[in-house]
Amino acid sequence: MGANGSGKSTLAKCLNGLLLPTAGRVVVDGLDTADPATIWAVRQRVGMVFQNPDNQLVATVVEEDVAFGPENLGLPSAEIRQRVADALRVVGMWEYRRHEPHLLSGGQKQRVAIAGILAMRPRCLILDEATAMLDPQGRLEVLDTVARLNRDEGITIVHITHAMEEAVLARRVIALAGGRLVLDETPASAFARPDRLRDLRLALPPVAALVHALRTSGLPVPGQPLTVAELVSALNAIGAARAP
Amino acid sequence: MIEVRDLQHVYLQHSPLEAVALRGVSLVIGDGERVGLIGPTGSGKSTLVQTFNGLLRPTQGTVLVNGTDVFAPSTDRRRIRQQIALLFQYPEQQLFEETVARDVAFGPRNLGLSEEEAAGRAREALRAVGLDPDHFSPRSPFTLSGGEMRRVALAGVLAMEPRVLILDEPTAGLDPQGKADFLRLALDLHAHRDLTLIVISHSMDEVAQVAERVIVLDRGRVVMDDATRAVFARAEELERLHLGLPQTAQVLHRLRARGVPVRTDLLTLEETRAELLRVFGG
Repeated sequence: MGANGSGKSTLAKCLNGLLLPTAGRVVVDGLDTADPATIWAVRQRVGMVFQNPDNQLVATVVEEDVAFGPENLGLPSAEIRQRVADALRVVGMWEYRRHEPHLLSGGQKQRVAIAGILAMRPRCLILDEATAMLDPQGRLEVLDTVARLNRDEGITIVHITHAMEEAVLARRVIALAGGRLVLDETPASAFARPDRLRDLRLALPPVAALVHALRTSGLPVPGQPLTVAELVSALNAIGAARAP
Repeated sequence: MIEVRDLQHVYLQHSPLEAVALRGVSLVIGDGERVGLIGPTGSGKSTLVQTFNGLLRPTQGTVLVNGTDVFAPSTDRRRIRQQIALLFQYPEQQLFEETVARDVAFGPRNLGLSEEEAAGRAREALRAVGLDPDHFSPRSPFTLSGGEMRRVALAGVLAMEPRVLILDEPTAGLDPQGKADFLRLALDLHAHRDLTLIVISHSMDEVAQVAERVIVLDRGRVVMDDATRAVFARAEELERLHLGLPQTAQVLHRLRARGVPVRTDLLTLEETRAELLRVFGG
């Protein structure tokens, strides 16, 4: 998280060597991004999805787009086919494998972009505001997909977003301000301090703002609810305690 | 007043890529209204608003602005575009002049105003969007922050002194403070300049905050058109359209589904707080 111009995208591009830092080092699984001999191994491990779904797909057929990366790795074609099939199934786009990318919705395009990265068998997926241009359904599709990749495939997710209701879904939040790391903690503690968030040009997500308002009015909402489901449970707990 | 009658639009008609964007849209938007326009990607939102000021000629149907047929041969569409300003998505990508002052004055200069008048309009518009003209006028637009650039772009359309302001995804890509500031600014302009405000957004929280009336498009048709409160009370239909609800309204609807007697027609954080206190408070 972080204000416009705080350095989020710059940092993200440093993580897979798209940018080399002026000073300091970035090391991915022991590989220095400044070492030209291993830069491709770094990029295979750390993939990026960008904001605009229309700028990322290159081929005229979905499965060819997903095959682009593994083909460049020089893999045997049976292996490429297997990887493409696996990746498209994981993101739920297998039935669209013969479709033309430009006819897909924004959320579908982003999932194809994610599949293209998955076909490289990465360790980490960086989403640089990859949900910003999507409608509510598209956002949901992308968020569900990356949550599953994290849970089932053990892939590290770095999700850059201005949507605080998306940031609360993470297990750890990092905020930048003016090119410095200013916050690195759990969502529960990061979103417990509205004043500090305001100073960082961030905000409370709607649910946390509601909880804050309720507590200020004297309603002791239990726990640290950040999502709709968590707040509904917390309120039900109050209701149950009051029930005769 | 904007009135559209039986609008149909087909992109690339009679080609293999033919795509129907609008399928018979009729509606009236009165002076001074605050309208939210929502719908899934490809539902026709952006196409529809581009017909309002004659930027896009629909395949069929009529657009009337204060009774004038926008597409009649005798109509001065430049004048219509001056009255109905459209701020596109990511408008800061369209800034191009060397200084903020010249960029904002570009529209008025094109209206045929003198350099002096155009510069005066630019200063006034910068002030209206909360940017100090003395400080910002001489600067290059490309040295500004994302939020400032978007304000400059908005100043550029306000300098035309429009009667209607259409904002297409106005806060996309802005940080949370930038979003909040920009929405407050839009509401201020509506209140103090007597503007009609039409906002396209994918954020239901944003629509709930800005609009008093919501029009829902789906596959080129108007499927709902009602007071904001009434539209967001139709949770299941919105769910079917994959549009969802503002998060505070989701809390109320889920409590209601579990048998808690809460109202579900509330929109703002303040209303929701009061209702939850009523039900769960001592």
